[in-house]
Amino acid sequence: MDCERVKMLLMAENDGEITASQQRELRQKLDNCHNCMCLEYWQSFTVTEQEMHELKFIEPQEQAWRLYWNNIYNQIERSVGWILVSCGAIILILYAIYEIFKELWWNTSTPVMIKIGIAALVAGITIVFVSVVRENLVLRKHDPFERIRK
Amino acid sequence: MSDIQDEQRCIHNCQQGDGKSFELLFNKYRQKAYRAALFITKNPQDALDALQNAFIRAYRSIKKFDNEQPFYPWFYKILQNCCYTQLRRKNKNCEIQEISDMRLNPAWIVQRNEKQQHIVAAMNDLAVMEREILQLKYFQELSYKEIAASLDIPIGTVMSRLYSARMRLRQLLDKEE
Repeated sequence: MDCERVKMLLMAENDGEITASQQRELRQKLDNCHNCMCLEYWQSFTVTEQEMHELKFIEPQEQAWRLYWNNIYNQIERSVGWILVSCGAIILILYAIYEIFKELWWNTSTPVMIKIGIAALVAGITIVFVSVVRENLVLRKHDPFERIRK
Repeated sequence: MSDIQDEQRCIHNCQQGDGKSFELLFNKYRQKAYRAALFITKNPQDALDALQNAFIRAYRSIKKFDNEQPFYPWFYKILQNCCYTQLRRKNKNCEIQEISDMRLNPAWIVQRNEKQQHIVAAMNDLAVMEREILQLKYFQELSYKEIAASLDIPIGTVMSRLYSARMRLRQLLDKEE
């Protein structure tokens, strides 16, 4: 008699997850076992199970949930707007940068100091950008939280 | 109309761009999702932040969701990712195990009797994997199929893992008594 298997099947039965074939297997095993303590063992566990079902968590009140939902809904509703605003802003900013750069960089009357400033700014932004991209790539590759399946 | 059909219709409406229908899903799953987030982040405020991001992300990706599948396991994976992102933001230098170890904090639980206090203590002595499966079963009330989908494991594994977690819990409780 495989008591472990019987206990497992009793649990599945109690959870309402037992299949027809497992049900037959369980009945057969219980019928063939006269001194089986599995049933008793499992019944004593159901008391613990009941207590576990009755554990209540401190959760936000209904009013708080309503406000919380409103916040989520507003964000969902505005998301399209924000995407359009962001796209428009990026295009305009890039164009403005390009124009300013063109105007100052190619203009022979622009002082050298300004040109050095522009070059430093561009180099600085590039370094920061590359560094952030690399950090994210490395983090993604060795992400300690990725698929934490213990 | 059955609960599942209602949910599928609701998801279908969301896939058509109806944000208001998403409220029904939100109301249905908010509590169990909050508990799941609390387990991972171990902080009510972080749990709420992660939950908000998860609902927003789920709505944005809902068109990709296969409406024939149960919704919660799909959402649970998004929620897990949002919780990890939240933790990553806050705990850049923390030990992974320290962060991912989902322990039950007695302060999250109301109306505790002595037996329940023992259960909470015993739960915290379980291995992380055992604790996770028990919390999915008891605190999120998922079916075996949903647990299997949430953890990407076969139903047979859910059954055996749940069995060993319960047995271990029982042993720990017996030891305390």
